[in-house]
Amino acid sequence: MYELSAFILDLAQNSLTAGARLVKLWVVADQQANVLRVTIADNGSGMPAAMVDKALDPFVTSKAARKKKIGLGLPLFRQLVESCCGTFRIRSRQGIGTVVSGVYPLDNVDQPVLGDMGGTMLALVAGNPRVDFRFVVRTPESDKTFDTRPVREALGPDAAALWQSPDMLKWFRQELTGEYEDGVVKGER
Amino acid sequence: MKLDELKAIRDKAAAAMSQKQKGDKEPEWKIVMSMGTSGILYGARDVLKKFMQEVESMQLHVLVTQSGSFGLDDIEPMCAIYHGGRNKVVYGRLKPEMVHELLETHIVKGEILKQYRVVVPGDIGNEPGRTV
Repeated sequence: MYELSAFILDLAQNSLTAGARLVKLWVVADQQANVLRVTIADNGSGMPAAMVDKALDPFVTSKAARKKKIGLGLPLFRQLVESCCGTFRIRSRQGIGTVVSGVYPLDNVDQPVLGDMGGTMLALVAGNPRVDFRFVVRTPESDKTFDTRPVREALGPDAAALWQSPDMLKWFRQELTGEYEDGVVKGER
Repeated sequence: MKLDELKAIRDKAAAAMSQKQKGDKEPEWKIVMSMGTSGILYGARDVLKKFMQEVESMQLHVLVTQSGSFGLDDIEPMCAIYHGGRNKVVYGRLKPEMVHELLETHIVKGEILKQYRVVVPGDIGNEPGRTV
């Protein structure tokens, strides 16, 4: 994988598999400290400490691990962060949730491009009518904050049923990717 | 964020939706995209985006969602199309340009698109002569 946004989609998918109802994501470039911070926090099932170690080892794929549906996502992200001279952290509490974070220097030559972050957000938000997301993306390539909770509130009690109506898909696509049907990209930078 | 637009969408949908579709009921058709590490690597996100775009432009009532890896990494990106919560058909080695044909054949016409499907257990495409 070459795009940071693809890693993020993979990590968020772990959160969804863990039954998260709210997934929060930060991708924030801190120019003063010269670091990029990537954090994904969810309120899914969480993992016991022994499971966390297993999740980070790409070669341990026991039957139990398979059932927990943990694959290469975490080890790959860790490898990415560490190859950019960064620090990877994971904290998980059973029954509370998991926080995965990576911090690496903003000027590292090995860092990936952000890539199609709008596509990642669209896939997550529109594809999961019953899960709330909060995105804060603040990098030189993109500046976007999005929260699904006000959207859900505005749609009222039928939000989950309306979520994937053609009108809503269009709204999400315009909001998240800035793509319009005439091919003009909004706010191109 | 243009939240005021949502109210218009809600009111329009409320008028159009029959009583049956209201509430928490899921649509009759469901497309589940395999979104594991390998799927993403092979371009599942672009295929999913295309699915959403086509569902939007073809005005279909379909739930497009994603799951963890299906476990068949060599034929990613793949998706399963469910009808009525069961009747699964799995398609593999998808590309964004296949999406329109797939939706047109499988969901609009109700036929299984044989050249894109992959053979997995429990797939109704395994039964000869079967339509969706």
